[in-house]
This record gives sequence, C-alpha cells and structure tokens, in this order.
Amino acid sequence: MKRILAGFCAMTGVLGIAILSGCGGGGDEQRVYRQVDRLARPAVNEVFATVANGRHKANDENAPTDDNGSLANDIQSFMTGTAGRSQAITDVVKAVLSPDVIIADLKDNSTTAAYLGVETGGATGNRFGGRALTDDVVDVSLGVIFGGTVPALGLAADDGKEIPTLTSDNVDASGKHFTATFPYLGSPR
Amino acid sequence: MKPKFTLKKTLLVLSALAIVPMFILAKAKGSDHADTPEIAASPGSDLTDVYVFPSPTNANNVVLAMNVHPLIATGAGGSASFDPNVLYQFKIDNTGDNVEDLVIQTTFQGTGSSQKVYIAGPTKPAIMGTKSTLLSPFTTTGIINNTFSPTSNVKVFAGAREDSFFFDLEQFFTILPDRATPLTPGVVVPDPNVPKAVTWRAPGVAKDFLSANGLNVLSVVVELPKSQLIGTGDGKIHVWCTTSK
Repeated sequence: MKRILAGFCAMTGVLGIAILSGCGGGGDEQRVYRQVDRLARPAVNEVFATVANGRHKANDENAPTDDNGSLANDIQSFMTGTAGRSQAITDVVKAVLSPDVIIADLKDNSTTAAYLGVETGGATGNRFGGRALTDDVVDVSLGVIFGGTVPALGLAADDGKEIPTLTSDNVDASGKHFTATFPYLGSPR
Repeated sequence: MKPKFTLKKTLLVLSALAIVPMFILAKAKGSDHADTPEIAASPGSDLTDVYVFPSPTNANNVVLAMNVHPLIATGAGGSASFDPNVLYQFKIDNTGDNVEDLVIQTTFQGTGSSQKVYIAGPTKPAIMGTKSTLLSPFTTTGIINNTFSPTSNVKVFAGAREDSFFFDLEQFFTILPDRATPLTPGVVVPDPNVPKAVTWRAPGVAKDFLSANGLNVLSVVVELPKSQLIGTGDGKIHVWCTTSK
C-alpha cells in the first residue's frame, strides 16, 4: 500500500497537485536499502566472474533469479575458455551452480552438512546439503571445474580435459578452531 | 576451443610477471572478498562466506552463519564492529522459485565494543529482490560479541570470529591476478581469465593464508528451529545473504 501511495504522490507532485493526505511530508516513507553485495555458494562469483568489465559487481547487485542470464554466462566463458572443458560438462556445471543459492533439505536427518549434497543426490556426503564449516569447498569446486567430478557422477561424458595439478589447493581446515557449542566458529585470533 | 594452459605459455607469462606483492595479500579474504573496488572500500558490506548446517547441539535446529568484513588483523577482533549504515540479511526461499519467502534482518546501532544488535525474522518481507525495507517491529536484543536469545528457542551471536575460510589465497592470486585487482588500484590485468600459473602449491608448501596470519571476520550466527524456515514447502530451502545500504 505504501508503495502505491508513494507512486501516486510522485505523480501528483509532478502535476503540481497535492490533494491526498499522505503526499509530501515524507513521514510515512521507510528507508529503502539497495543491495551492494550478495553471496551464497563459496568461490562461484569470485572464480567465474571477472572483476574486469564489472561482471563480478553485476552479480553482486542482482538477484538469484537473474543468475541464469548473467552468472551462467560467466560460468560458460570460464569453463569452455579458461578451463577448456566440453559444453556437456559446462552445461552440468551451470545447472548445478546457477542460480547461486545454498540448498539444504531441512527434512533430512543428517547430523552434519555436506556442500552440494542436495545437488548431487548425496554424492558429497549426505542429502542435508547446506555447507559445513569443515567442508573443503575449494577442493569440491576445483574437482568440478578442473577434475573428473562431473563425469564420475555420470552427469556428462568424460572430455579428457582434466588438469590434475589444479584439482586441490592442498589446504585443509586443520588451522581452524571450530567449537562444539554455539556459535561454532572459533574465537577471534 | 583450445584450453589456455600450455607449458610454453605459462613459462613465458611467469617469467614476465612479478609475484603478487605481500601487501596485497595483507588484504586477503575468505571465499568471496574485496569483490570489487567499491566493496573493498566498504569492508562492512563485504560478504565473505555463508554456512547452513544442522545444529551440533539440537537436532531440531539449523544454524545459519554469515561472515562479513574480512582482514581484521590478529588481536583486533575486540575493537571491530559492523557498519551501522548496512542492512545485513539472510534470504530464504522455501518454495523452490529462488525468490525469498522469508528474511532474517540484522542492523547495528553505534560502533565499537558496545555496538547494539537489532535482529528480526524469519518473516516475509514487504518487498522482494534487490531493494529492501526493514521488517517491523525491529527489536533491540543484544550487544555485539555476546550470545543472546531474542526468543527462547533462538540463539544469536554477532561479532568477531576467526575467519573460517581456508584456501591458498596467495597462489589463487598468482593464477588469476585479475581477482586481486580490487586490492591493487590502477593495475589492469590483460586477458583477465587467462591463468598465469597452472598449478597449486604442493602439500606442506601451500598455505592457508587466513590462519597463517591469524585473520578474523565479523560473523552473524543464528540458530533456530528448522520448522521456522520450512513454511509450507517440502523442506528444501535455498539460502543467500545480502548487504544493502
């Protein structure tokens, strides 16, 4: 209702008429916040979208419902260009990672999360999905982009373009101090 | 299309390109930081990681965590605070159309160690998409760096935490220096998607930059009953976080 009134008031303002109560004064108007950053899955926008040409910024400022026409193009360019993968594998990666949202099944009774668990039918550990603090999301993502993960899941034929030296950054969670009690993330260093 | 990785090309590029200087890495981040020059200049609005996991202490609950403001130096966690001009949101779609059905909103008042935390939700917002208005009512319920319960079955923490992300960030910026450019004003990387190296570092050499340097973030962590997010859906939720000004 407020938005309709605001639109009407703007119109009447332009016409030089202010006959409705509630027009002008601005007391009814709530502050409208505009999105400056957006994040869900780790290392998606950051890896696939270039800073150059404003691609990363565009994805930060739009919504998940825009991803199939925006982020998906960044994934296409990176997968077929930079990573040199087949279109079939690229299509799977786009379908899994766009729209950019973390998916969790709250009716699943697993006691931990497993990144991409819902999207892969449990192949990454369980069907709760979500993202656990200890999930090695970098290695999961590198395996999809540069490794054989998509063919191994039977989702596309092997394209023979794996680059094994890029499938793990060789860093794990051993330097972290997660806790068994809320808030679960470690105390500041 | 020919892949861009060839040994000859890599050697040529590596010999021509300096290693990314340490001062850039002093500004390193989690899984998505200093996205753009604008965000790098406004760290309070810089989202770095989002987590969704079953509560380790209560099978009925789920935990949502949002990390922001990377690169808080070791020892500086106690003096860091959120940006009081920013609206921090968890957005939850429980119908599968990727439009938010519920939001949890956090805003902050004041700065410094006594900064107040305002939180509301999960509630259907008045408008969906990239513009937001505040949920009403918006209750003051806490102070940063102190766990509190807005209602009896919900726990909230907003404050400094060890950065939970782990990654060989130095080597990532060597492979793709375009991704470091928000931290290197004036530097333009030609062929921004052409990798400048073809390998990660070996085990033992590779470093988790964030834990090696004791770097911290600000986190908003909310634990609540799963039932509060399911609504009329089938149990699957799609979650993302946003910062807005």
